[in-house]
Amino acid sequence: MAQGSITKKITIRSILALFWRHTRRYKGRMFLVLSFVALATGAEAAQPWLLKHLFDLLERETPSTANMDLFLPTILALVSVMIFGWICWRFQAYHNNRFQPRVMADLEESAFTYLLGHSLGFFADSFAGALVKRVHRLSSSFERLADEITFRLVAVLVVLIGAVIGLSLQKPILALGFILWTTLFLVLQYYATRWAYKADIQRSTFDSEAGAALADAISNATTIKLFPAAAYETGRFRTALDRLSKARTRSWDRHEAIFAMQGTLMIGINIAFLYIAVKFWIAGVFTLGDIAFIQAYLVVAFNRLWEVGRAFRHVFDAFADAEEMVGIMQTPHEIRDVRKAKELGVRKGNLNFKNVRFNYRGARTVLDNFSLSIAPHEKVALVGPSGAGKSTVTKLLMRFHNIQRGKITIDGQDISRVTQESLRQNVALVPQEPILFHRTLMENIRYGRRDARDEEVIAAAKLAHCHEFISGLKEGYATFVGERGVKLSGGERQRVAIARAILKNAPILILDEATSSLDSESEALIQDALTKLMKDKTTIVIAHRLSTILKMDRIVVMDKGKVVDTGTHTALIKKHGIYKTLWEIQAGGFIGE
Amino acid sequence: MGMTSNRSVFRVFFEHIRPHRGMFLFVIFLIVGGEIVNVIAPLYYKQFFDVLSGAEAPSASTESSLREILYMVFALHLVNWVMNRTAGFLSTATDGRIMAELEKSAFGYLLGHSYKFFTNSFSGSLVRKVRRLSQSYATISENFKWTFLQTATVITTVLVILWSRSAMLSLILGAWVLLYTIASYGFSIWKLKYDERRSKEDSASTAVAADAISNSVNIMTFVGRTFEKGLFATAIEKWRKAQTTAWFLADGNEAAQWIMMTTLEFVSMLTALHYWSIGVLTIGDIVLVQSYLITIFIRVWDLGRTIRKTYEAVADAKEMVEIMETPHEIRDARAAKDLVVRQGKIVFNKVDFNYRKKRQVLDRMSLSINAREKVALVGPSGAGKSTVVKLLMRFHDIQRGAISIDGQNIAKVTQDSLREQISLVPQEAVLFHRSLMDNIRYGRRDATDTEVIEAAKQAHCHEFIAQLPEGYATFVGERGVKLSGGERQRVAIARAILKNAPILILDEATSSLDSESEMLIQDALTKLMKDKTTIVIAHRLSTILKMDRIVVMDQGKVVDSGTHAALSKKVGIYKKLWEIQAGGFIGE
Repeated sequence: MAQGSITKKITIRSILALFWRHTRRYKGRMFLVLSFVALATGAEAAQPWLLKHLFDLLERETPSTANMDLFLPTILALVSVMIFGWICWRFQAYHNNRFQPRVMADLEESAFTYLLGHSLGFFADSFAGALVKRVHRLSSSFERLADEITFRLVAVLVVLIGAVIGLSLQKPILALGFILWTTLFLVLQYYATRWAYKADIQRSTFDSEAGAALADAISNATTIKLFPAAAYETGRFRTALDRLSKARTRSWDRHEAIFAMQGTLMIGINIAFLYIAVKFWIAGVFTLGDIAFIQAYLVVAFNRLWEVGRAFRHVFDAFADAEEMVGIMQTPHEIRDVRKAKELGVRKGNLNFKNVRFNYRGARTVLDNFSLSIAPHEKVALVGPSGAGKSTVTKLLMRFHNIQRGKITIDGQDISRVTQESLRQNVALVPQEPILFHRTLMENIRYGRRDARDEEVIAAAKLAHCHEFISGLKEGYATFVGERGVKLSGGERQRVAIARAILKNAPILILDEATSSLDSESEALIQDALTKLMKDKTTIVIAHRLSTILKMDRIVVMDKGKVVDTGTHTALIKKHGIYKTLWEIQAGGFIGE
Repeated sequence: MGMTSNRSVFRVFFEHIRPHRGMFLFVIFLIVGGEIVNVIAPLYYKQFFDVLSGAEAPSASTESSLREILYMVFALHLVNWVMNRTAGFLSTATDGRIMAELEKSAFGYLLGHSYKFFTNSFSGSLVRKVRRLSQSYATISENFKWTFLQTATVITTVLVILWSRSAMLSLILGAWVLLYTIASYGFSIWKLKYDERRSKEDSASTAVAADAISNSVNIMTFVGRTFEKGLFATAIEKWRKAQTTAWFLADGNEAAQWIMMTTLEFVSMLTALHYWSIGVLTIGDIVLVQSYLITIFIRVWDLGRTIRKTYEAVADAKEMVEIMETPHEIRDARAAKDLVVRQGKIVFNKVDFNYRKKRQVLDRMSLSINAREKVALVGPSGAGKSTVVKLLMRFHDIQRGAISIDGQNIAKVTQDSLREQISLVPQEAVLFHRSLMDNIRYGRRDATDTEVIEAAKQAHCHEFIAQLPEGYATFVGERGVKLSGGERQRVAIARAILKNAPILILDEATSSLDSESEMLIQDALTKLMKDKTTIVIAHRLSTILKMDRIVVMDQGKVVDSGTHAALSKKVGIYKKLWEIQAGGFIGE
């Protein structure tokens, strides 16, 4: 799978570096956001001072309506501090709403762009759905991390510093106790969160397992009906669910245990501080206001600390989520243009494979010392048993993979020395199983040449005999074709692919079983279009139906990664070779009866 | 659709809670009790400050009464802690189980739906719906217990206690809570549409990315990277705008909440001070009011968001509940018997069938296939060949006529027994993401490993399986993507060999094989067909030549029937099809 290709270890530093590259553009905003959070929480930390003042007044004055005026300034001050905090939060939000979504959008865009630069081998090895999720997770991971830093980390720091300053002005011993307690709390919290996080990871593993089991069964719903197995499948799913259910309870239990620990620690320090405060009060050192003051600080600090566990968890999650995409972004693109690559210029269309050796990632050698020369405008059919390497030849010509040895040239220019874009502009490929975009038919065909006008698109569609089925659709060319084109039949998709190739009109044409999904009748319809398309182009055709091949200039027979024979049909059929065997199978009926 | 009401969602939830109702009620009791204790604790803080402010000078007696109060506060916190944590542990255990049971019953019911149901839905979205049902339950249960229930308990208790100290303060607070709740509720419902827009843009941008990634080959072939980047950037920009709007609204909400809270703080402190100045309230009462205000502020701060999340959860659950309320389209008849196949004679008698009342697919089609006869169905695409096969498996119900096997109407026997008696090798075989061994064994789940391997050898799967590093233990990827089309077909044939049912259907069973592999497999198919009633659909007419009889279909009817030699003499569809197949390029 894709993970296999990511060899480099992803460090937290590299994740942060990536985030920093994307936030740097907006660092002014980021600074404003952080400053306003600090000011707002600072206001929160200042409130206990005013409360203390209020209670000192209450203790000193005797209750009477005449004294009300004495309290008014304190209450007004309290309200002003709250309003100041309120205003700071609003400014913070204003800037943050302009900061985070931009960075997130930038992150997704650069992840997406980098991803598309990866090679065909990369995409063949990864699930499309998983890749999409990773692009998405990168930005949501940034969001979470940014939230934790702005709303939790900065806020906790400011409140804790405020509380320590406040307490040490009262009684340094209390401040010291508070520092010790906070340290203990944070350390315990960190380890407890890590302990619970392990269970969380296990839970989400089982969760994806259950999801996969479900997806597997649902995409095989027909098979389940064919081999009546609903009860069996329910049983299998139940097993996955039981595992998930146990893992869920375990992870939730750990979080409950953390709540319990937090509660114990908070009740403990609260009672201890009140007890000490009473002692000081009896000794005449503390006023009533002082006690209220200490109590108020504890409440403010508790409010913030309660959330620290969640903050740790979110940070862990954020890094774990970002890791996958950062890994992909650090994997160099497998196929790159060489430095100062030139544009490919095709004048005649002479193709030359010279001693080419190729295998997929060190597996079995697919092409071995393969040589083939195709003259300009020649039409060549590649035939041979499956696994002979026919499709590989066309993929290498498109430079979907790099070869290990040898050289491929077009009109004398080495294809690995020219830009990939210019190479692919000059080659039109109609694949065996075409995939379409979930866009309109018009846009899908226009993909062949994106500046083509509607009339040109329709003309190409008519040539490829797409027009017939498209005009039968209610929305015609505006019809959306479904994910990967599922709403069309295999034959219809192939005709769209042919229309694209017609529109592209590149000097080199490759038909890789381009009509295999058409029934005999539709194939007959389309052959004249293909014949026209091939005119004046260098053409490579791969086909199983030998009848299709008969009209080519030359037939090249491949076996085990090599060219074993070449010639016309009449010449080849006279020899006792692979071609003859293939021909006999095709022409005969059931063998062995 | 939207036929499903909130009530049916809750009905489904309650059905699954019922087996655990004792535990469920006990958890509720613990939560309510814990919160009442929690609200009583500040009463002792009040006493504490009353003693502090009442004492002329600190003395030993004040110290001991203060200490007693502290012990009491400690005890109350402890009780609250024990009740809350117990409730927490008990509900994790119960909710985990209820979630699993919800998913299980959703899945079980889902599998009973018809073939048509599955072809009309995306499997990905069905998976999501099943998962969301249980996740919705978890969200709703958590919000109900830890937000709605707790907040209601706290507010009621606070109002009662305050009433005994000052009716005026209790009234102010009560009115404020009412106003606040209505505002939060109204706002979160109003904001819903902006959140929906944001998630719509979110899915839209995901769809663009998914589309591009699954079309990566096209993007390379047609040099479209820059073009795709532009499309994605547009989608992302739209999402960003929607996101910013949604956040702004959330922030506006916070701003309003804050103003309401500050106002309440200001008004109630002034009122409390006023009562203190006329001697009605003590200093302790002011502490009490202050700590109640903080408690309530913390509780109601996220109320709006919780309401919104609950709404979303109910909406999510609805999608699955709707499927669970839709009756299965194909059901066994009451007291349906098992199908017994002695000979394997199949009769279609004047069968009418159409998909959703559109074009008639089968039109009074009649066909009789003798026991152990081998029949080829041929005809242009759209003639209804595959439909015949699907109807025989009872994937759809017919509108008129009857289909019978050995005289038993297939609509009157159980679906399971019908499908046990038929092997179908489909055109595009889909596999489970399980090992090859498990996949082949699906043909007969009690087969031994040796039997599985024997079937694999006959279907010529063994050759390619033996070459894989993990052999029969190899996992085949989602839907079998790691195998080629031809390999998947051979696995499907191995399954059919293992199943060995008296009736066999081959629907283009060798279409993905190249000529050589097809040749290899034909002898296995010939053996498999022996002594079985067989229906074969194929485009390659050469494959068809060796069948007992060829049935030519066109526009939902049988138009001709006979041997190849007889049919190719007539001027008909068969002759035309044969000529196209035998010729090369036409029009040259």
